[in-house]
Amino acid sequence: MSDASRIKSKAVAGRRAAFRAALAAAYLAAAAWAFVGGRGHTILLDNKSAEDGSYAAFRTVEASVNGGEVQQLSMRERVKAVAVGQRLRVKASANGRTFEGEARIPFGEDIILVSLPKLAAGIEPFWEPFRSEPAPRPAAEDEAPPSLEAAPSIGG
Amino acid sequence: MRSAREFVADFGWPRIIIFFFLIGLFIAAPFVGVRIDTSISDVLNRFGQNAILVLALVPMVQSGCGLNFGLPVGIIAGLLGGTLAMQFGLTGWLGFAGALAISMPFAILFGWLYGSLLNRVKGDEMTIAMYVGFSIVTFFSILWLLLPYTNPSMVWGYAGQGLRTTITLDGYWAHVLNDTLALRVGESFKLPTGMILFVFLCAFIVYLFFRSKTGTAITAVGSNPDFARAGGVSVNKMRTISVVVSTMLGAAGILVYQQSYGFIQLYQGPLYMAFPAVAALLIGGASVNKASMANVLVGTLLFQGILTMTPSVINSVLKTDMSEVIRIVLSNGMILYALTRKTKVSK
Amino acid sequence: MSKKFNLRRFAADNVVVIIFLVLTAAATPVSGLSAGYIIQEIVTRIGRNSFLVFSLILPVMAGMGLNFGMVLGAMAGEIGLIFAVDWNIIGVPGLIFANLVGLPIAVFLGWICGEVLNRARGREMVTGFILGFFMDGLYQFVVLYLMGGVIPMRSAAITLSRGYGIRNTLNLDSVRQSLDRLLEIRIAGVAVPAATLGIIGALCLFIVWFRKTKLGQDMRAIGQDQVVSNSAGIPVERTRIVAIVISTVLAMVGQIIFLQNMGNMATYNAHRQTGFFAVAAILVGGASVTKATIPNVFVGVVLLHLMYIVMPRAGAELFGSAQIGEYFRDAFSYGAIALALVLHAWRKQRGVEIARAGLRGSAAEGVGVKEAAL
Repeated sequence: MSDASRIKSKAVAGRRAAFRAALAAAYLAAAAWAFVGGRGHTILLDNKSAEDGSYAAFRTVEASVNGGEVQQLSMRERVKAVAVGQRLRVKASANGRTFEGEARIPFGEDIILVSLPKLAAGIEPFWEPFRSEPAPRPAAEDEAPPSLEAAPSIGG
Repeated sequence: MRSAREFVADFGWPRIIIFFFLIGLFIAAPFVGVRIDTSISDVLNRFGQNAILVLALVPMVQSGCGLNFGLPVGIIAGLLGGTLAMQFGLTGWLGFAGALAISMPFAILFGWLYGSLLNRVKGDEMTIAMYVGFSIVTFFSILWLLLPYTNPSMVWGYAGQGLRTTITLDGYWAHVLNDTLALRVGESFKLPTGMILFVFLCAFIVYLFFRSKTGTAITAVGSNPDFARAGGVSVNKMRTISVVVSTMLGAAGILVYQQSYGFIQLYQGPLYMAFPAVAALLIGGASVNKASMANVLVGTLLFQGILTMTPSVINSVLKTDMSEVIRIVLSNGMILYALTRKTKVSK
Repeated sequence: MSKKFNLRRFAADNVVVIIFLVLTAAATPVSGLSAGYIIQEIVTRIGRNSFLVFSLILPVMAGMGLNFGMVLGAMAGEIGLIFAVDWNIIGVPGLIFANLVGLPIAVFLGWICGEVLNRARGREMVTGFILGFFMDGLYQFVVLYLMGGVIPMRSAAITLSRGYGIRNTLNLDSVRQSLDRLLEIRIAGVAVPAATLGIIGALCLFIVWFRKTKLGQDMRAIGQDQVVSNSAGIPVERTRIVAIVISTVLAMVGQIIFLQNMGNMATYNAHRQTGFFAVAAILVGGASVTKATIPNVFVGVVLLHLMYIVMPRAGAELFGSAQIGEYFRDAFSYGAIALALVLHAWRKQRGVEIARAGLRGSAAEGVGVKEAAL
């Protein structure tokens, strides 16, 4: 092999390595983006008074999360909503007034409890991570997976 | 003299592993509370039940048509024989013999058509055989619904038409072979002598067939078609004969299977029946282009042994039902091994 | 050969397509389904299935036949989706995440499949088929025994109550139709999943482009003749493996697109019929073992699925039993595969016989020439 071609192949090898590194980086970046930005969080909207009376529940309140569906809550009610990604924006309206609050859901939390009266009263933070006892696994219809001999039906 | 290493290379690692695996299962059985006599009884029963289906693969392997994934063609002929014999109200020995007799013309006809088809697609037999098998099973699913069977123990009660998915053979010829000369030892050991003898009879007939002039010609066609053609043997005729024999054995095989199992399974039941049979033959030491009676008998015994022993032994050891996974990996792994093995040209 | 349109030859080359055309043309009016319903179903199914069918094209180009090993890719996609659901990643990011998880698995499985098929030259199809069964066993082992145990799972909702193993049915609500609904256009009352179709269009462009690359040219050369390609310096084994790896990865993406449209997943069965459907579709579309084009895919998906839509209803109308219609369509699909394979093998064998006769003829001529020279 001549020197020139060796240099050239070295350059090719270098380019190839750089390309591969960039590809790996892009892969990891995309995975991280999907993993963080696409994570679904359960948001529990809550309409209860504080035990010490520092804030009081509404008779009825309407609320939405991240511009999603508007839900109506009566007193002492709690409803579920979904927030995708870490951004949390809660909009609520009651008695002709509207309140807005924004927060960042910490990484690793699945369920966030949002207190609408707290939001209205301007108490920060108006939310807290909600960690319940692990729910008992529902007993399911655990049939055994069918065998190869039991021909699966064909369906499109 | 052949060295051990040569023997291993010839026999293949997978088979040796499977053999010792089975031995291991039998050794472990008493320690986990599985009765040896029941196990052996089960293994022998399943051996007899499946051996003829495995035997049915041999003629086509010998003639160079490869592994007969189109075994359902023969099975369908057997199902026709079985259902027709029931329709005519034949019971007991007469029923079984009648089913066998009725199925043979169908087997010959189907086999001849199937063989003629395979002669036109030399080199691609296995994939096509597989899809011919799937096609005939689904096509007959339509016929099982439409054919004018009337025997009330076979047809759906509410519609009065169309065969049931599984038909019980109780009162017809369930266990006729199994119970003939059956040998009972103690509570839980039963040797299905009649069925085993029938298997050996079939194997012996096939063995004699391959000693005959036609049989040797078939083997010659399989090992070197050009040479056989030069020797004045009609390659296509020999291949067709092998396919017809294979189909007839397939029909007989399913009838033996059913009388032992006690039920006729229709519709999608036979769809995948070729695969365990192929796996058994290969475990017995056959290759894609060479198979013997010993391969059939040893292979069926080993394969059925493992299928019987894994659920009971492995499940009591691991406390979970892994037998399904083991069965799938083992049988298909064996077929893969045979398909990917470089075929040795000469010793 | 004359350039004139030869009707007999055209019919012989497209007999499977013609049979299916006649069949569906006869069954469609009998079924009594409205045109609007049928068109909507067809559009949905093009979006749902054609990506999977496209994964078969490259191996055909490389002379490896129809890649039944594509179910390995489907399994990789399912594993990706299991993780996306487990981590509750929602919508399109969930699909992207599933693809990213599935990608290395698909590449690895594709590489294994390529290695195996390289050892089974001349019987790639049946080997690929059995490899699919074999891997199904391993898939079951991983998903039913390792997941939730050795491989940690977060969500109790998808694992079996015994603590390990994934449930038989996986609810894909979190990603359900997220790609289809990303950009849904209504044309004359028919909902068109434009984003999905856009991705399929991009794949078509990729395939057109790929054929022209060095690698694509190599594959076509190998498909023509392996020995000649080898002596021309093309790395035959490696190129064949690459074809299978790409096919497996495409099958993985295709399975994810398929399942997001279905909205739930039969954990242990979803991939079992994948290969059958894709192969049936491409063959019904007029492809053969050695030639598959982009139009074959679309024609095949439309015809096969048209039959799947109308047959049960036609059966119910004609025989009073939808079951018969279902058996009919299964029988015709299997039959179409068998027929297409038979026709191709038959033609190939006739070619061999003509070549053999030709060789004999030219050899005789050679002898004649020699004798004349003496």
